[in-house]
Amino acid sequence: MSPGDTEPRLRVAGVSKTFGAARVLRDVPERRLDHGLAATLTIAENITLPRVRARGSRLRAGAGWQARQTADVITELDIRPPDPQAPVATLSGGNQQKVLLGKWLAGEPDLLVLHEPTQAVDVGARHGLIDAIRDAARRGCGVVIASADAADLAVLCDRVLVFRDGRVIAHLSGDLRPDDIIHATFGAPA
Amino acid sequence: MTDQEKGGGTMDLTDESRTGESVTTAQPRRGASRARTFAARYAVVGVWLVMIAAYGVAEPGLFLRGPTFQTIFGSQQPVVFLSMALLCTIAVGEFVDLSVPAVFGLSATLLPVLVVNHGWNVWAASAAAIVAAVTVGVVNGVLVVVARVNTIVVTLGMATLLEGIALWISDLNTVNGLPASFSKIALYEIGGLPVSFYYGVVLAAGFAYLLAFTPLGRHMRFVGANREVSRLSGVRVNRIRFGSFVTAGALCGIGAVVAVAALGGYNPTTSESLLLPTFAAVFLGTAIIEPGQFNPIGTIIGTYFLATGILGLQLLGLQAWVSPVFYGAVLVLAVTIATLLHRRTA
Repeated sequence: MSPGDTEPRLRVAGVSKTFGAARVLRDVPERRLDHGLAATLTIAENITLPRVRARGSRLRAGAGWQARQTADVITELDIRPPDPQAPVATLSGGNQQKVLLGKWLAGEPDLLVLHEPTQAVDVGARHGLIDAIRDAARRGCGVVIASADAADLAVLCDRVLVFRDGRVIAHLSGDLRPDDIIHATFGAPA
Repeated sequence: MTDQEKGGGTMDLTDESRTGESVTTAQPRRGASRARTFAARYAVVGVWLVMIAAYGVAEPGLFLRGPTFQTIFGSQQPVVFLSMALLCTIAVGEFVDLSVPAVFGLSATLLPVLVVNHGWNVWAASAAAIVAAVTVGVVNGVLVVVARVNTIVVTLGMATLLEGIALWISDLNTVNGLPASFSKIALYEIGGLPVSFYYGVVLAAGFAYLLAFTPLGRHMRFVGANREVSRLSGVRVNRIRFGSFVTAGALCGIGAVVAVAALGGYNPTTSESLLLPTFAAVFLGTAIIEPGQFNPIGTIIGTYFLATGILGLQLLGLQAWVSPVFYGAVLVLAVTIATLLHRRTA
């Protein structure tokens, strides 16, 4: 799936479905402020944006559910500072990444598509992000990850497909170690 | 809960130590930043009060009188409507709609021309004037949003075109002679001020509510802040941008009807003089209430701030040149301040 697709088509549980952009996480860490979050607006505003139309009435976005959703995300992902009114620009990269993930997780999606979810974040934030993704998967959310980080893939994935020149060259599953993935990626072509 | 289940002891320890750190450092910083925020929000209001006091001292018995303030708050309705129209498109990130005064001028010319020269009913003519303004908004929207032509160039051309049309349909004349009863919709007095003043206040308050508390307003601010983020979050970006141009047109048209009702006619050569006050008010507004953000309440305060400044200088005996000098200087200053404030928050 190319990052430019507006309507990704995926087969989940045997059903091929086109997902609207709102239900899919697009996560381009190096450009998270270009594609993921509005830097000048607050944590709360960014987190609830995809749902204000569905959850609010025409004349009122509704303060209660927004405060709850934001507080949940801040606690669950341990976002610092825990201030819903802080502009996203004032956060560290790792915390911005948490806000971005929380923005989509709060909608309880059926499917998450993640691209390098822990790139350029510190160790503590990486831990939090990985926990949150695993929790989502445990609740029944499908997770597709595109990543060059073997450690992330090993800890997160049930199945790993290794691509080279646009083709799948290896198919790994079971209890994965980072070395297995690196070996499959950089080993001699099968 | 999940942290306790999943995280090991070391993880919890680092979390706690970090929490302690942030509490001790955040507290005094937060107090200082709150004071700074208050200063940034209301600095212009403070300057306004100082300015009123200064004029009061400089022109004792002339400035600090009821009529002065009736003039200030009763005369700025065109600028209020136009600055709200300009805000519609600026709020969604369109830089910048130069056509607002010309759309206003077209409607304000069309209304008396239809009534006086063509014998239309004044209400039908008002409706036609508003429809004309909305149509221009639609054309602007099609060109900018659908055809993706540069906003400044489209609206600059549109402004010149419409000013020409207004001069043409009026034969370069001031058109007067609207029925006196029509003026009531603008001049009916409530508490010493014309009802049109309250239209402006209600418009600005409603716009502020829309932006702050409704889903549409949230979407508008995100489109203004970052179009790509909005699109990827399911916001119908182009529909909102298009709607902003149409709404801007409608506000210009309604503002023109109110202004023409107050004046009893219109001189089409005066539209251009509204451009600078409108832009100055909108940019000055970014230094008020929500520093660094375009906002309606800040804009209307900015409008009356500027009107106070001008009137005071005129009462001091300064001539017509004072108005462009003042508005131009404030626009440059306000844009500079807005840019610096924005850079600090972004």
